[in-house]
Amino acid sequence: MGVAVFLGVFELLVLFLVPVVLLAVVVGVVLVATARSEATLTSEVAGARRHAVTTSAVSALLMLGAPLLLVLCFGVTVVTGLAGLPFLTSARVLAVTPLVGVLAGLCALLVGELTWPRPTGTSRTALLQDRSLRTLLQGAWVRAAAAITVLTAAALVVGGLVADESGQAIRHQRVDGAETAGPFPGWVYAGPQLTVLLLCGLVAALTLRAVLRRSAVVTADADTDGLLRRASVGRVCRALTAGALVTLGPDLFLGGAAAARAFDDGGWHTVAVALMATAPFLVLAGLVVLVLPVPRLPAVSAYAVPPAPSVPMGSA
Amino acid sequence: MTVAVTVDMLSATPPYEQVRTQIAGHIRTGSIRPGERLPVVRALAADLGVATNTVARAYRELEAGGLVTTRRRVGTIVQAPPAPASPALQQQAATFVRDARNAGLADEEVVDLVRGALIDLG
Repeated sequence: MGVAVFLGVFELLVLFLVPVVLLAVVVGVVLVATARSEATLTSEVAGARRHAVTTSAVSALLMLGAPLLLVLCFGVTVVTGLAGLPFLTSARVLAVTPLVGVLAGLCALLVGELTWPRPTGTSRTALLQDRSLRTLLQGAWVRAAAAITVLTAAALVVGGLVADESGQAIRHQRVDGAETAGPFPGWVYAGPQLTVLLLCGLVAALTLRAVLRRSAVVTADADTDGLLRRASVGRVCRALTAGALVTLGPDLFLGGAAAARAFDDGGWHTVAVALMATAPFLVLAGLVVLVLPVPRLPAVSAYAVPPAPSVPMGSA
Repeated sequence: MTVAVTVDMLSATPPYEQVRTQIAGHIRTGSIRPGERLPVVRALAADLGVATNTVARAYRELEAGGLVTTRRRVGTIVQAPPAPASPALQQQAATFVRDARNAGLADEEVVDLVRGALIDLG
């Protein structure tokens, strides 16, 4: 059973990852080709951008590496039949794998924001601009992340509530007896998933607070600084959205398949089949979201020469 | 609001006083208008790379001078100056500063010149 699940997950990963990797390569080539030249940026803005890109790369490596490590551990323990690691041989490991990767990636983003370059030098200038969380949390990335995360959390709770007492199957009481089908994302799977999703939400919130509170880039005008902050917010939301979608998809597939077997006709059967059919698209959407670009400095030299700050009053 | 504040860490003037003086100047010249919100203390301190207490003290002094008011959940809001300078006076001040700079004076020297005139006139 364990080996079959492992191989099935591996095949699905290959099926979905190949087109996404191809898309990532295309997006990467376009981004590099249209990237704003460092020569048009001040050294401080260029340094801040390098810091952001490095953080993003480390975050992406962790988001891919942590799940692969978990799946590898799962495969090794299943194949070798190692005792003493009951959790690693459980399908619950696979259930939380995408979110564990996102959690690792979000932690990297948090560290990146906390180590954002600070102003140095003896003369320091700051724009008197008000920054609030409300102005920071705007745009499609934020709305998508909030909606999909809440939807996933709601789906996990619903899964937990409608599952039977085993927490991994669904039962339908009929006149001719009860029909039980599984695996179903009840509390056995939804519980750990919900826990890791909440942890992801917590780390995302901490990261957004760090984005709001970090110092502005010296020599950057208000537009450039705002853009760098929106890019950071976009990275956080992108990770959260992808993790939620890649978790929600398999849950809906397994839940839909089990429910379709338990409810072999009628409206609930149709709903279950529809959920099952939607699931692959959610997983694909989650993987595609991972390679979508976040806001970045425009290639045209709109901000090439930062406007000189207004002359401060004498400070004597 | 796109005005700026600069802190010179080597200046003999304490950083909080530099921040207070510049914000007060921006308010009195109308660069920052009544009703506008100043950045939160922590954000401005982070941008300037100074301690939070430095900016907090500057804001407290501005509030004591009646130039800003701080309310919970609203932030620090600019008030109308108690004795606003007339546009003509502001124009004269701007002309004086421009002429002094054109004459090669540094900003510190311009302020010293004004202080000297204030003392001379009693």
